[in-house]
Amino acid sequence: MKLNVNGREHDVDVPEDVPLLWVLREELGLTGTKFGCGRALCGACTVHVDGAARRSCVVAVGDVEGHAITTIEGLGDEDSLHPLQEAWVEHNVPQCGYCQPGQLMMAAALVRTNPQPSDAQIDAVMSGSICRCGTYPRIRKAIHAAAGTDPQEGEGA
Amino acid sequence: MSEADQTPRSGVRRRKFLLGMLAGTGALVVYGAVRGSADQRTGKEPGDIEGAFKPNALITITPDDRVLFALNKAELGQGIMTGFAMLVAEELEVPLEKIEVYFADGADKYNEVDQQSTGGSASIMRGYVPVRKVAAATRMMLVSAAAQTWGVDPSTLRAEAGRVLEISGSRSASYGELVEAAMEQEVPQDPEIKERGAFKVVGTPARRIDSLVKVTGTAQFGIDLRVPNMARAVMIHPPRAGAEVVSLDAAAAKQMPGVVDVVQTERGVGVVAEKYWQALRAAPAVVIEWSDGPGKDFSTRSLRSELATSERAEARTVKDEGDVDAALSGTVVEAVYEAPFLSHSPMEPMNAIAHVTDGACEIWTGSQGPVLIQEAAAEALGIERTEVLVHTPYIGGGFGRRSHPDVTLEAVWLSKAVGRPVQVVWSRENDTRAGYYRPQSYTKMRGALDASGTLTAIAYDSQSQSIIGDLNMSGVLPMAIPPRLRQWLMGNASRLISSNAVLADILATEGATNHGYAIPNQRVTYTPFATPFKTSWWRSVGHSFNGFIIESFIDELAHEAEQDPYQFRRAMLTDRPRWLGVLDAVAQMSGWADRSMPDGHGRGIAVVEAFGSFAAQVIEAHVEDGHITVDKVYCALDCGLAVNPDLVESQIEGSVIFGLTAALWGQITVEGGAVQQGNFDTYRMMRMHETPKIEIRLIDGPHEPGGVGEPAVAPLAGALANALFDATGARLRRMPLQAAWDEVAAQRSESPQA
Repeated sequence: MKLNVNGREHDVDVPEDVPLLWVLREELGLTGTKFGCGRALCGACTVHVDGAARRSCVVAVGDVEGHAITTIEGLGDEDSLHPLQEAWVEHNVPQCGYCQPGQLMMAAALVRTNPQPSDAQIDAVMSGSICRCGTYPRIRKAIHAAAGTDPQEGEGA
Repeated sequence: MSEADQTPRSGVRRRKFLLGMLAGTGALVVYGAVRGSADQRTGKEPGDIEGAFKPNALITITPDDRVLFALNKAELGQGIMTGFAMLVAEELEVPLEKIEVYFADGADKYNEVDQQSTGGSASIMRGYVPVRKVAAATRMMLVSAAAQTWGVDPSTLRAEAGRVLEISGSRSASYGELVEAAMEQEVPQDPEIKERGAFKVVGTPARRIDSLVKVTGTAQFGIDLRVPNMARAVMIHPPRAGAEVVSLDAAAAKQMPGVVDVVQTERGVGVVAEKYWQALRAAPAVVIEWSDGPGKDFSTRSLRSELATSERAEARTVKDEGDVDAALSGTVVEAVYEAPFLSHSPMEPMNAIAHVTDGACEIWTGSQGPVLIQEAAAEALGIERTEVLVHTPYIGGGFGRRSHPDVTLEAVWLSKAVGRPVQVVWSRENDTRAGYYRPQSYTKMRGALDASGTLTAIAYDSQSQSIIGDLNMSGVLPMAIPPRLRQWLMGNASRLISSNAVLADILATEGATNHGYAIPNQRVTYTPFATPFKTSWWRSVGHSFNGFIIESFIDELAHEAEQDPYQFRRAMLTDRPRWLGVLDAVAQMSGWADRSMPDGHGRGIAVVEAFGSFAAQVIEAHVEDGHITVDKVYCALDCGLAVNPDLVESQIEGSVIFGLTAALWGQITVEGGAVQQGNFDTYRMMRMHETPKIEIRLIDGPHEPGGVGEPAVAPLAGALANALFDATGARLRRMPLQAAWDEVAAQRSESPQA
């Protein structure tokens, strides 16, 4: 089947029910998308399908044939970072960094539909992504910074 | 160049240089005992560059002005890559962003600078002097090289931004230009390092140097690596601790696309395929009958009742001051505290690649102890340790779990069986259920107050599984011991060490023996026990439960004495300035004396010393619709010099979220030998919307760096339990606190008068 990933067409030869996550990682070598739980519980595998955030570990590859898939590799690169990526660097967000591609893809989907999210709106969307290192306060700050919004008054850390 | 000719570029001189440096810092070399063994490397590391200046194992300077640094620690997210690079930038006089850091392979040469393992919040604490000395020595050699080239005295020169310059003159040269002459220079025996006041990089909130690769998805974690001809494997682990395969029918699975083999191992069955997704599809087709195993009758529930009635015949006295029995002969306050097994659950599931060849083995895995990996693989294969080459990539979280070689051994077994490189990637369920848990504990506390409300005695009597007793000790013995003797020692090491009541007790009772409070009569007793599951260091280790126990009990005593919990603690810490410093800071930050909490809300305070630092917290919390809600955490940390204050703060934020996750919800429970939790739906993680506001203050002082990765985990559960007592009047003595609250709430609804 043909997959459109990061604006490029790829031919892949796998059964249709293989999770998109493993097709990206093993067939296309796009290892920025991470495996964390396999059951859409942690958000590490988040990618965009037609601009909307999806958990690639539970998306059958056959269901996204013909759709535009974007991975962290397509969000921005070293020479042209997405504003969120810039804010992540600026605020020392990553610790181990493993969940951050998923966090960024989730945040990018959020600001795409809601360019000026409030704390509550950030929480509502970002609560789907687990960070075991505990970078949540900085993720929230970085989203505000990239969106040009102020954190709610009295917001700590 | 006549001077240079008299200065041989010999390895002997370099070794002396490094050892001298270590002697000066008192650094402990555990693995460095091997001398004269061949360097086991078969491949090149990034720093192995022809024509480069490489005065020590860590630093490489190339003729084209590249500066490379071999990181002999695991980057687990704690930021050591940035921290060590800052130390190097400071003393080598190069801009931080100019330093190319790479992960050192597991090799003895890296143990000479500091033990090549990562844990105990110790990397900066122990590397602070030696890493700077290595960098300073390198800089001095570059300055000497310029002095010699120009025929001037080195004191007329200075180093700045990767160049050597004449102080009053116009000549200058880049480090790269000086490489050849630098190789001829004598290695300084005792390089001079800066006084704190002269720091330009250390102490600044510099940006992490690993952020860019981590936000673009290009950072290579162990799970992302592939090596030529590599197969991938899913592990089917025993459903119960210690259960073994009785029968295995892999015929159907072996017929499935891509399957290479299905291999029975010492722990379960490996399904090896060309692709991981193929192994995932084939695994359910493997039919296995399992034995009951030694864990069949084990449950954590029955363990709790056994511990409650245990005779403690083997109790060891770890600390005994004053006359505790006499002091406790009158009215005493008694309480029992319990803490469960906990899983580390790093976001990157455990994984490893092994390539076993004839008499050798190459391994790629995110490890907190590459030498342990070497040792374990060598033992499994019956080969020399030096024939095991270990590469260490970025690591998606460790928290202590990546100190153990178990997943690597599975890759080794499978690679040996199928004769090609194999990558094992655990499922989340594998990860949650495979053991190496934070020990479960049961602790009885007794205390006595005199008529004036002063605490006169405290007795801690704890039972927990011994982490040291559970260790395969092979990797921590000096490698120089003759093989036969070593084998005997390895077979007996756990018993020997855990029975001599030193190391085991230190981990199990840390935080109980060093709580800091001036109490005239104190006793600490400890009884180890065993279960079918192995235990491990888990971020903050013994402090993870002892912080909860001691700080809860002190709070109980304060209330018994009808005193303010902050002032009660304060009165017992008058001779402990660093304890007082963080305690007063956190009281001030939270407005402890100035305001009261609204109805239904409470606050709790706690203070600990852990990993060379001092941490105090005030937590504000309430219960809403039965759910414990943490509103705010104030944390003061005295870690001495903060090499990078922003990264220290990020470690505190992380510690708070990690510690609250455990305090509120964390528990691994076992029924019939089977772990009941599996994925994040049953082993709950704190998420963004549940994260409290966190306010941090770092206490500045003259002290050298202490640990920062773990200390702020230690006071959390105690401070939260104290806050919940303040909010609800219920004393929660069992972790996780939400489960303990649920029991209280159920009792209250049954007997509303109570």
